[in-house]
Amino acid sequence: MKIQSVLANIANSKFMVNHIKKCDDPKFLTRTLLLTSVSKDVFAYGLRVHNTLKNDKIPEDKKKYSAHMDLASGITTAVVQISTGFLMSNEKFQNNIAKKIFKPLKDNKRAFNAAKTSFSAISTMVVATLLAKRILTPLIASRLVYRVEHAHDKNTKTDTNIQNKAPNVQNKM
Amino acid sequence: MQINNVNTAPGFSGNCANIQKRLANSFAKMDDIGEGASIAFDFLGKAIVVPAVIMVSSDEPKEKKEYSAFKNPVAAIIQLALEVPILFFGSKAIEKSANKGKFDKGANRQYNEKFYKDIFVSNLEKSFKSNSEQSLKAKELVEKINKKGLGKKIIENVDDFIAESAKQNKDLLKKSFSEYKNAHKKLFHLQNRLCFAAAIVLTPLICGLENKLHPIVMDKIYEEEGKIEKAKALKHNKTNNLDDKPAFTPKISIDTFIKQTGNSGANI
Repeated sequence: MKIQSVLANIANSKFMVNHIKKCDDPKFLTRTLLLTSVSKDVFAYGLRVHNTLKNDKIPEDKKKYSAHMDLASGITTAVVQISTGFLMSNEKFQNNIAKKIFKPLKDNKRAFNAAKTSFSAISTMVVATLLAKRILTPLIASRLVYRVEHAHDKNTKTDTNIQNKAPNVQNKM
Repeated sequence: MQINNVNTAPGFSGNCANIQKRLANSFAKMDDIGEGASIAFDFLGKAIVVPAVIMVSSDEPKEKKEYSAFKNPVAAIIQLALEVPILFFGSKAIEKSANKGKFDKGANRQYNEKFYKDIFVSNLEKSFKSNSEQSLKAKELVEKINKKGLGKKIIENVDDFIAESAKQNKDLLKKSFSEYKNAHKKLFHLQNRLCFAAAIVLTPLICGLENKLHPIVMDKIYEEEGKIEKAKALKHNKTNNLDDKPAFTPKISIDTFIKQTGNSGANI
């Protein structure tokens, strides 16, 4: 089959073989997973902005807000996920937390390491995918969009005020 | 060495110490997080948490933020119905192909997990005389591997078993198990990377579908909301009539009202 031979070529390519070798390093692996997740999200948000702006079925007043929300979410999710992900995958940070939480296991190195690995996976999932991606991102994005949209309103208001206050030169002439 | 017997030296006292002990033990015994848990977590986040956060945090008018917030549950449902099954079955197909040797390159069988598993299992079975205690343990391990594959707990059990086995078997088992683990890991990473590439290819399709379905869903929601509001208004009017509350129509004409107030306001 064609697909199988294409996949076999990709799997045995120099790039893929080297990349998979590097995945033995947990730090490299965590950061790769984080970057793949972020790049997929940013790509999806970019497409959403493009699609929303071109969609005639969305009412004009909601179209702009919806596109702004997607744009702000794309930028925010990248920044928030990368920073929280890098913090959570930090060895020192994880060690300090594990030492505090798993004090009862300090004499059993194997149990301690097992607990630490599980905790690292769960905490990264909770913090990066739920807290950062699903709570912080919409929270920050909606505030950002509100500020941007209303700053624009203020600018247009001051423009019209200036226009109203300006003397009508044409009539005077 | 079993994880079950944990030496407990509590960091807190009283009830807190017990909670900490239980928490530490449950984390130590926990197996890897499955793909299913991760998908469920992501779906709930997208379908419930994001719209709730947008609705609560934004100061925009309700209709405006509702329109943007409801895009997320639509996207989550499309993702669950389309992306998750494609990636799940795609991942299974990659595993099958690799185990059939389709990704082998001559003697290089780095992704062929089944090839290395068969070598390890046959070494395990050959190493011990039948009916001995270790042979029974080995059989149990083989059954577990065949049923569940290489999980965190099974790896620990096999490591313990190899450590306890006789010297003449130890090296052979160690080597074949290490190759098996290596092939398992490599196949897992390959599946992840190929699924990521597939997800990127699927993204425009999913976003396109979302873009078509979202306005339709919103129109339906507004239609339903309109119906509910109409029904409420009708009900309100009916109850007003049933209560016989005074209507706003004047009971006397304006002219008689002016005449009466003009003569004496107190008469009214």
